[in-house]
Amino acid sequence: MGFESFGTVSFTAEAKVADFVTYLEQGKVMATQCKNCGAKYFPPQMDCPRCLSTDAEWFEVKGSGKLITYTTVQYGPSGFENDAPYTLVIVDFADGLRIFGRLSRDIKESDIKIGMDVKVVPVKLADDRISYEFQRA
Amino acid sequence: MEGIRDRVAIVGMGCTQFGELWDKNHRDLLVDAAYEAFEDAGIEPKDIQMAWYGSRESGFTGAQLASALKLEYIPISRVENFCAGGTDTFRNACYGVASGVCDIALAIGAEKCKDHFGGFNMDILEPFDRSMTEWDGPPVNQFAQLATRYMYHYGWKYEDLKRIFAMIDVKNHHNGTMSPKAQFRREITVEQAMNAPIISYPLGLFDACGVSDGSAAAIVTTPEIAKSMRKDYILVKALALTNGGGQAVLQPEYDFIHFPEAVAAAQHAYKEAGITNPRQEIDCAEVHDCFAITELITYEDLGFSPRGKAAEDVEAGSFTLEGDLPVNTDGGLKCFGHPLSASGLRMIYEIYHQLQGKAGPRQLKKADVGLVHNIGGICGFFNCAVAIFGRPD
Ligand SMILES: [Zn+2]
Repeated sequence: MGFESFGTVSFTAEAKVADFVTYLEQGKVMATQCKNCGAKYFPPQMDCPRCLSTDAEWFEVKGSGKLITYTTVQYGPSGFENDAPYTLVIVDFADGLRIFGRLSRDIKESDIKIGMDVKVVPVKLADDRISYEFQRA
Repeated sequence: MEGIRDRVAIVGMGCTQFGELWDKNHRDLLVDAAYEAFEDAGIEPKDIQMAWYGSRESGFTGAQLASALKLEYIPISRVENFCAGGTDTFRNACYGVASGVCDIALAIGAEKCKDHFGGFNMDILEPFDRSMTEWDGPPVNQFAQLATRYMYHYGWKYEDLKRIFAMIDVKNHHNGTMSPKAQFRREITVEQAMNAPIISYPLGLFDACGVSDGSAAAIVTTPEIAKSMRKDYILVKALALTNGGGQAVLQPEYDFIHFPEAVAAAQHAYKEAGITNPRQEIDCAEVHDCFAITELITYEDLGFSPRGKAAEDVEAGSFTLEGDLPVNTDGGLKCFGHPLSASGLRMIYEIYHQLQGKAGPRQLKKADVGLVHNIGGICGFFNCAVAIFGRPD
């Protein structure tokens, strides 16, 4: 399994971290950590751009993070036209782990606040596709 | 290391109409921009010894330009550097002249964005960062995230920051009414801009530039040759280009309220041009107003306003045609749209005319030093070009 089943539109065939999708299907959102320098990566990376080590390990993104900024998209780009409106968020977790993704539609736009606590969870999309989203923690 | 200051001169420029040019293909645009520049410089196409051609959306190789202009068997390099492509194309041509390998060079950028897959803005580019995140965030969403964070960081109420955005939009639209080649040439009101439909919260329709087709060109040579061609040639004072090497929006230390690439490019350019107080020493600027928030933050990145204080200068009218540092005197990207690799050269075209005193109804009383700024990409991953121009003493 690889990224062909990931997201509304799949853009990547990054084979080294294809297990990301397998983990999603197991109900886990995973990131990677460089074994050499400790840097954490999401999207996961097996090669560390900071210390150039190629030795990384998986860890599960648990607990809650804080919403740093967001935008609610009214016009989706090609392939996402039918999804809008949706809200994109940037969320900071502990130890310099920053994750970008969509906010759950269960949270009303008027309830979105910078600094609010959210968690990241896998979500099933139509046609057996899979992704992840942020939900209220 | 010797910088570029006073080593290259612009002796001719051309610029097409910008807009929805359904009746012209990109070769037509190249011909129109180049021949206006040839005429302005008083040269023939055969006088061009080397050329740099900027384009992202139109065809491939330098042969596109050779074919359109019949510039056969001279070196033509193709330049692609996203939103900074036009200014970078110009930069390469200047370095060609400064190196001594050619006397007269052409820098030209052209894009047909309107009929290329529906325009680049709603078309998803290949992922910048091998991201496994769904790449559902075109430029407006990227910059909107800065607007949201800027509002939070400085404690703005939504309505109040939207009013500042609207004042920038109104200024640029007003300037655009005096630019015959602009895509949009009509006044708007603060209320119209504030109440326009939201594209990507908090940015509305008038907080975003349009998408357009267009081309612009410059002829560059040495100052010695320039003197023999015309009195009112314009000197290049600085050329800076930076690229961010971060992991895009996911750089954990990124604050979403400034563009580090722009700060670095400005510092390099000011040093090369010998500028120590940009607010005092620069008379006019063309900055990359792809979105109102970009123009607002750029005032701070370029040192025109202190951090967090740009809105005060907007309210004081500092950047209008009557202000102490007019910005986007031709209407900016807001009124010209943004055909990627043509924009930077279009902005240089405006500064060139302001410094020559030939900007018509937009002409500023004092225009001795002008600046051009472009920024493109995504946060942590931008490229930024800053160029500074002056008149011969
Ligand atoms: Zn490392």
